Amino acid sequence: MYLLGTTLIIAGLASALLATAGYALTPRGHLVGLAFGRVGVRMTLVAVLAIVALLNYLFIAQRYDIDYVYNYTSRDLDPAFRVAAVWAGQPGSFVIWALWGVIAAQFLVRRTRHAEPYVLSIFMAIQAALLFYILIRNPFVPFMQNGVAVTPSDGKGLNPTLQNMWMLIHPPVLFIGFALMAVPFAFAIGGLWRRDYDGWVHDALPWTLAAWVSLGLALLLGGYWAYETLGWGGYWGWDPVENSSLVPWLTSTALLHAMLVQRTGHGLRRTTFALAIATYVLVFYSTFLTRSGVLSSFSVHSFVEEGLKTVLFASLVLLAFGGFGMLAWRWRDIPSKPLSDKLLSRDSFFVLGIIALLVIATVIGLGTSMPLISAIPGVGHRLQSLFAGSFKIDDGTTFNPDAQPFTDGRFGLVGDFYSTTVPPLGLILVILLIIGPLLGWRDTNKRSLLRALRFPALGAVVAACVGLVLGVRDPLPLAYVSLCAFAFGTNVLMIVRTLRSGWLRIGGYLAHVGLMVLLVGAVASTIYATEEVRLLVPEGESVSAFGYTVTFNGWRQTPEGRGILDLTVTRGNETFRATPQLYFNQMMGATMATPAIRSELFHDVYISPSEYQPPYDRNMADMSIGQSGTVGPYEFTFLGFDVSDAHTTGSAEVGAKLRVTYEGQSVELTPRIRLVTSPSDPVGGIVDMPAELPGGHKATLAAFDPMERRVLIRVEGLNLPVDPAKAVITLSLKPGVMLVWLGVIIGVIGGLIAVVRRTLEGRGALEGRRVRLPRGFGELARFVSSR
Amino acid sequence: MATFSPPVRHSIAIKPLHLLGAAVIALAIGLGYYGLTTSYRPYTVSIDEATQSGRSVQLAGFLGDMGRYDADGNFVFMLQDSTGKMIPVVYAKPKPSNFEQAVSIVAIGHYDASRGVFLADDLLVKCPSKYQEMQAAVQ
Repeated sequence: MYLLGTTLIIAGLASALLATAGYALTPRGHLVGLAFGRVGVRMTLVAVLAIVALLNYLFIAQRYDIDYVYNYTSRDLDPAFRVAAVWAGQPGSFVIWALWGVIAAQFLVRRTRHAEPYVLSIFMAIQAALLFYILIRNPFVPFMQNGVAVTPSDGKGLNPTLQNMWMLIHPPVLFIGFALMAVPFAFAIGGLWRRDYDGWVHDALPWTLAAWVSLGLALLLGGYWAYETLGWGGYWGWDPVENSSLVPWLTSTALLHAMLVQRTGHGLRRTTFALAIATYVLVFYSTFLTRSGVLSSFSVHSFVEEGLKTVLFASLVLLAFGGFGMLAWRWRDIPSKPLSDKLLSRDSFFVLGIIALLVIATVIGLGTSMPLISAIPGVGHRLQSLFAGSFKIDDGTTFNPDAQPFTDGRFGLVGDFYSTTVPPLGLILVILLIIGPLLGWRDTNKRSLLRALRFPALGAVVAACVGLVLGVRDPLPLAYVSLCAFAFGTNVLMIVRTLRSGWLRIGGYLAHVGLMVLLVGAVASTIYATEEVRLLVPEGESVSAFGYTVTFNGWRQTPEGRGILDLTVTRGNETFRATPQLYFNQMMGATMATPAIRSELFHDVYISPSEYQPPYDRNMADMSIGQSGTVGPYEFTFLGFDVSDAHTTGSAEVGAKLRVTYEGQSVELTPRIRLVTSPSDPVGGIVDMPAELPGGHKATLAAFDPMERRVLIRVEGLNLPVDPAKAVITLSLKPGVMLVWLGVIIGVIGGLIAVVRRTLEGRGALEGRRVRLPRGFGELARFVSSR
Repeated sequence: MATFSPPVRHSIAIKPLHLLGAAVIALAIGLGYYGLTTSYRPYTVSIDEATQSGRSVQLAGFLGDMGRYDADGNFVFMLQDSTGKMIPVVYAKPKPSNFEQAVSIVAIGHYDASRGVFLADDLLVKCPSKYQEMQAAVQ
């Protein structure tokens, strides 16, 4: 299988390189190159499909002689997850990334017209790079133990946190986004190459929209996964992993808007090129950050370096220098066309929006890169000295100047950085979206603008009042609630106006509406979430917080072998069962904790498990050597084991030397157990040899662990109560989380509508005519089926 | 070079659009600087450095014990640095889920000289290979 798999990877790599070379030679007049290019594109698809099929076969057939299969599956794994396990590791995720890429390439061949050789040589070079990574991190390597290939009977299994629906859909969606983001890049480089500075935007727009939708949806799915399964307490933690995929999404949003400006009035040509290149460079930078181990000390995720660091870094440098180099080369050749002079025009508002998006992307990108920037020799130490001397931190005290800089010059920024910088900048976007959609591209009639703003303004006032009534008093959240309602209003107004000329034109406005809903939800859930209260609930008893009464029914094991805290939660007449998971997973060697979430209309009830305390018997004392324990009136100290008189044949004795304090008096005594065997009873038995305690009770040695040097002493006769088991949970209410999901879904629908519209327009352009967009679904279906 | 003619320049008059754009960028720089002052956390692998600095840092080390909860529900464990020095770390949240597997741990917080403990706001648990790699892959 190793040989077959590796052959397929090499075949795929060779085909991709053939396509690249063939296409690259075509513009120089070698028309036969075009034929080679097209064949290469087809052959790459065949090879990648074969790789995927082989990998799937190995996972489903449970071929544990393959290292990758061994590491990510096991016999007890559900069949659906056996397929998903294909992309659980690094090589597999590059495989599906490449799969989407080569599928997109098939469509690109037919949609690129004169640009075909230019665009596809770039695009196939990227696929070749991905296949090269797959070759280096070969998923078909046999499992080796001490240098010998062996076939284990079972695999190591898939992490339980990955065994849910999100694992099935999140990575594929993310990699669709990554794969499609290469299309605008390839079109941009192709455009610079063939000096077509406008046409590429028309062709690349639907692809860019599709990539933008996938990446946005992937961000949502990742957030929901973290919120629902991983129990991080929120859907967004400003962790480097999240940030590094948010930044290219922000720049791709800017790119989309720049493309729209250029499409309409041919302005912003250089900006569009720069953004298309920058977005793909940032996609690669994100891959580099998460797969090279450079951030391992600065993230919740410890990124593991697996031999691709140098290759990924080299690719990144090549991509950045190649892309921006091309742009610099053609810079003076690109004719610039002035934008509208009027401030109240879409031209101006799009520019401001692009600036705001890029500024947010820069702040997040720089913040996330701080550990890398400070790792450059000399830079970290210099910056640390500068910071120590120039500003105060947290509670107003400065760093001890003598203690700065630290030997290791690196530093990072905690999540506070983003939650203080991003919200005010995001508000700029909201303000732009209040007026922007109502404007004409070049100019606007102020009177009709003001007329249009009446009802949305009323909405903003109402939203502000509702916010005040609900207890939103801080200026920034109040501004968000009110201005988001305002922008919601104007965009809904535009949707109503646009619907007359066909629902296919509402995509952009709908995406804005989604963003507003999302922002209100984000503000509510981050700023107005209740604190996390820690509840200690004994088994069979109830504890209340925020009007919810939590009853603990005990710790149980589910048929799948997961441990749950069985809780009943009531508020008023409403009762529901909550089962947060908390158990020790032997395979992973880790405690698994998964929260229980009850989504209600206005808030989520978030129950996070933190500890399970087993029943505690007050008649027992559990002590390591030198430790003390109390049972009723007695205080014991465990002094050590006594095995001194274990010399009688046929028996062995173990004693625990104890110091006992009772009513101020201390005595030393040794309860023992004796193992007895005799010729008639070779199995033998254990005989308790209790010690008499001063108060008239007996102390027995209930259990001992010679490895940990621990003993368990039980006192007979006191008959003290047994404390029940206890669940320790944290409970919090998170308002508005529903709005976050709802907002993203509205945005995604808007994006998809825009994809359909721009694809239809693109096809029309391909046939050299202007399309009349279909109005209803029926007309759309006829429109699509007519070709 | 003599024949080179510069491209036609448009008037460089400052327009409201330019002012607004500059204002957005200026706001971002100001906020960025302010954000830096609240969130800057230098990284160290030395307990001595962390305790002497007196302010919030990222302290990386190894587990000195497996930790326990104190009476207030804080998670408390010993952190050991490469010189063998130990410091108790107090974390006001539940034990991180993969704590037992940690090959090393980064505590973000500051040293409380009056109690002689390191108060952690956040713990980054570093585990061997696989488990974490997958989390990185899925994000």
